Amino acid sequence: MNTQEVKTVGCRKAWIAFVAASSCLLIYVMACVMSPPGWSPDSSKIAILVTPPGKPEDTKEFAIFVYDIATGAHTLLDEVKADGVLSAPAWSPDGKWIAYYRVEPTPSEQVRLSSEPNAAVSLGEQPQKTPEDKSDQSAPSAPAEELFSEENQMLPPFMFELAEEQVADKNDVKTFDVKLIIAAPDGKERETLLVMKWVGDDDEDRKVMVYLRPTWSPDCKRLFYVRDIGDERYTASIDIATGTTYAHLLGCVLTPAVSPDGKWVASYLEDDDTPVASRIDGSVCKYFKLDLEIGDGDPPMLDFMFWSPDSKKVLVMDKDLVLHGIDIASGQTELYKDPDANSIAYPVISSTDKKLYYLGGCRTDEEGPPPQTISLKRMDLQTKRTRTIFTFRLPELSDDGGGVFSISPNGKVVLARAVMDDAFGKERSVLIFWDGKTQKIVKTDRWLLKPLYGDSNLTFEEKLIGKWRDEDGLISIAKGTQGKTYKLTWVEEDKEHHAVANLVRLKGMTFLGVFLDESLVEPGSHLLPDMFMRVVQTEPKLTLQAIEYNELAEVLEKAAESIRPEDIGNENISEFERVEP
Amino acid sequence: MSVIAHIFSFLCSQDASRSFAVAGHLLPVCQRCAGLYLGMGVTFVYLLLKRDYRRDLPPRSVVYVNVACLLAMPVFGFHLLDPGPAWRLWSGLVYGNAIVFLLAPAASIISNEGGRTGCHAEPSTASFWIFFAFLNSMPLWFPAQSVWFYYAGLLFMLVGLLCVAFCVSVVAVLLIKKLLISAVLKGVNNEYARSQNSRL
Repeated sequence: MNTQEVKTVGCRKAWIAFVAASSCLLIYVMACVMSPPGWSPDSSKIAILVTPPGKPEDTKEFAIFVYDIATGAHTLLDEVKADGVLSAPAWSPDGKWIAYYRVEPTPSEQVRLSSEPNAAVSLGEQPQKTPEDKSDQSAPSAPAEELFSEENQMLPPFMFELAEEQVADKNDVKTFDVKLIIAAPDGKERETLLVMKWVGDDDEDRKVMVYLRPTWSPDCKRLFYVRDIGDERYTASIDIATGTTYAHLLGCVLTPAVSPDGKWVASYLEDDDTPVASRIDGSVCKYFKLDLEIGDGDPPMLDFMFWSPDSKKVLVMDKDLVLHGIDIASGQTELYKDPDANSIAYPVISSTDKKLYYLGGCRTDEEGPPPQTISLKRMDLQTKRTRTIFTFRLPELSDDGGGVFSISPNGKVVLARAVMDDAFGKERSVLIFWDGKTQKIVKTDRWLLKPLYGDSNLTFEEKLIGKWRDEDGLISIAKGTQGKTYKLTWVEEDKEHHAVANLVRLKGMTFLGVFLDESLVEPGSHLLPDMFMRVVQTEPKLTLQAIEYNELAEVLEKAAESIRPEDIGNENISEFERVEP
Repeated sequence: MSVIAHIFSFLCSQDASRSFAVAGHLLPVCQRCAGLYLGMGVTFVYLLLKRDYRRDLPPRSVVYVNVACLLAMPVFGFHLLDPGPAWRLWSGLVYGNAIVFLLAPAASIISNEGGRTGCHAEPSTASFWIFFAFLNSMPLWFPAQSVWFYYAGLLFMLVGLLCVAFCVSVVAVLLIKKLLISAVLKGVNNEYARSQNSRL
């Protein structure tokens, strides 16, 4: 090989090495920069705190789920039972993390629950950055420094000193531990950032958590949270990477209001009707004395205080759902009203067009009747020009509150959390989505349940098939389209209802698991019926006994080998006579 | 620092919860990218000192190791295995090392149009193995909590980035020069220029 050929061969090899190395680097960089997050603020998924029907503050079961609106898939992020509490979740702006507060059940409750199947939370990795694994029980009293454990206390220091003195003066300050947690939307990773002490020990104090959520800084590097120190709260933040904590300002705001430029945080002094805005570095703190009222003693709405897109104004919602914009440079106040709507409710600044989206037509008076129609509206904060995006009609809801709404970050979808009656007249928690064209109702109670039986428990009895009559009406039981299923048809209030049922043998007793939605009994889906009916006898009369899901779960848990009739009692029994063809 | 963070924002997701904090300062890249750019920077400095890159492509045994390191990245990069921050750093370090070990000699040879500078004796691989062992030990002690370490880390990461930028621009300039010569000075249909280019 001559010199020229050696050069040519060497050059070819060099080109191969060069292209290979460059390509590898390029692929890696693209993969790292463009790695799809579990959720981006594109409004395709929601993270939601799910509780059984009833007021969230009265419930004994909390779970945070991520729900994919398009596919209907839901992923459990975290759950807690007994007197433990989870807060509302908050997505990070890059969509990679979900932050929330968690209060563990008291130890006595934990011991009881640990014997229950599937009761323990066992999701994802163990927390990596837990500063200290403190036991989460109410401490009899805590020194003031434990309640102000932030390393860097920003302005105004004199207020923290006053608050410390206030706490120190009280002899019997009870506290409980609150964890600040971040979790990946797929539920595979979870990290406890902080364990902090809150003042209070009874249920009321704990259940305030349901109404709040942490707030992310726009760059996702810092997480803002609130701490309750008895009569007051204060807003603080944690640097996620270093774990350094900062106390920023006192105020009643439950969800910290961080400006879009990440430089300001705002709160509200409830007693003085004074919004406060403080620079995050602590260099400036401004107080704006206003003549407005927020709420009537109830916890204020989650997002009653937020920032304009240019970070120049703090927008505060008063109790009449009127928006006040406060210029933080000049202190001047501007009113934002929609003349065509009686309220600016559930406001959100859109991530796409930076305009204000809100609901018009929500009732402002708790005593008044629930609204029939609600409008999704948009306001340009510069021109104050408003526009109706779409109007939707509310379905018949069981709770007279009319549901709790939220608007997607892109301003295109409205979501309501509400309670509706199902075909059996039972109250069910639902999510209702409106996009201007369609209404989608998703039942969430099922998400909290664990299957009580599997395919091996299924059985089938021909004797059940036929038409049966009781004092209320007629029910028809036929063979279902799928194996080992029945199709039920009954008429109630001149309306025909359909359901699908499984017959299952559980510890010596036979039950009908009734599904109102036939798709839920398809192979591979969870075997979670809407209700259970114990089949007491099939001849000469069909005797059925309705039993609640939780009641049956408890009976199954307690029964060692077989369930006895006295374990279930003799309530809710119905007798049916066969109607001869 | 914000300028450096801005530059790296085009190259890394900058997930703060997946980034190293050194003496209270957050590195502007995630843990894996920190390994990548550090690995590239440290390897580039090593190659500059050794000057092996001017002679030829690395010996076959070194190439095999580098290819293995490149192939290891998908396993960790796509989170098929994600045992924690130290492993993320390690996967980045060996990946960056492999890239520069291939890129720098290749750019040197291409820029010399196939010619090598320095002696043509087969270089010893002993120093490579020592250096490679050092790289593999880095996740065991990284990061040291010192401000100096933070700035040193940033410096090496920038060196790694500049190394790649330099190698790519050298080759790009050479290509543009060749194209200009063939297309403008000698004509697009010039047979001689075409034959010269085809030999490249």
